[in-house]
Amino acid sequence: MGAGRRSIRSVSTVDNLSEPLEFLQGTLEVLILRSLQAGANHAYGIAQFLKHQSAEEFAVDNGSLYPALQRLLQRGWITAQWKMSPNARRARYYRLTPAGRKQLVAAESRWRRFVEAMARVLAPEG
Amino acid sequence: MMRAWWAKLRRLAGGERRFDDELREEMSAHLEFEIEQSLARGVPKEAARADAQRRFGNTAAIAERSREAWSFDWLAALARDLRCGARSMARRPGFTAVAVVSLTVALGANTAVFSFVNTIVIGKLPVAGAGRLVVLRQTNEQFHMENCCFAHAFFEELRKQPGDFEDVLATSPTDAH
Repeated sequence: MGAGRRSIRSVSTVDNLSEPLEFLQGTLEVLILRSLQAGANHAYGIAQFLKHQSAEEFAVDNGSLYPALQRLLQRGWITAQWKMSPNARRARYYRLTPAGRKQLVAAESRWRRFVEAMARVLAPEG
Repeated sequence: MMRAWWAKLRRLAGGERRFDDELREEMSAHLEFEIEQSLARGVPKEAARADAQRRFGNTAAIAERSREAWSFDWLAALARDLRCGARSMARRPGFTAVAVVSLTVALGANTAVFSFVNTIVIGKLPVAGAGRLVVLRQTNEQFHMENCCFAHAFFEELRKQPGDFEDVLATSPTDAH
């Protein structure tokens, strides 16, 4: 699974440093919404985007990605459509709905607050 | 909320088979992308598929988990929506009462109108041989009226003529003769 992936470097965790980062509950959904912000993409493209944007810290497992996409479809935050990819392969493209866009904006500010609070708590007291 | 229910309904209408077919096609396209990536990284052609499949993961397990995402969430969401609805109704009894009364009146009115239309327009009149009843109308050129009326003399003539009709009946506005 984790072969060849870089480990998290700047933050030490209790468990093995060579393991890729685990997703917290609901994180993956937000990341998927974010990856679709610029435009429609297919599952492979979403995984590539997240891997690249996270400097390969996030290695999205398809066993998590596919169910997450289904949950987003179900909530009406994304829609799916078959289209030709640039290299002429039929792929299922996902696109943000207006509701999904709203959800992304809300999730973004929640995450920023969460990250700031975590950083404050974890920071050495001074 | 509406959108979410719409997605659920579409999924239900599409059926399990269509869902499985689409997922299979989606994953096979995904695998092809992975194969291309393997080839691009210099994996020999014979090994590229296996390499891609290893990175892609267990196809059957992914499909299973994707299916589960619907069945579980669907029921959970339904229960959540029902509970939320019940709570918000309980919180505002006045609003709930008004809503229930409006719905009752609207439903009642609709039912009444429908049963009237059903009897008069759609259904047959509750008389013997209703299928043989006809309504005669004409366009009255004198008054420029469509679907209109006949002179009383015409009615009398029609009644006297044997054969065409078993019986003839006319109605008239009270102020006309």
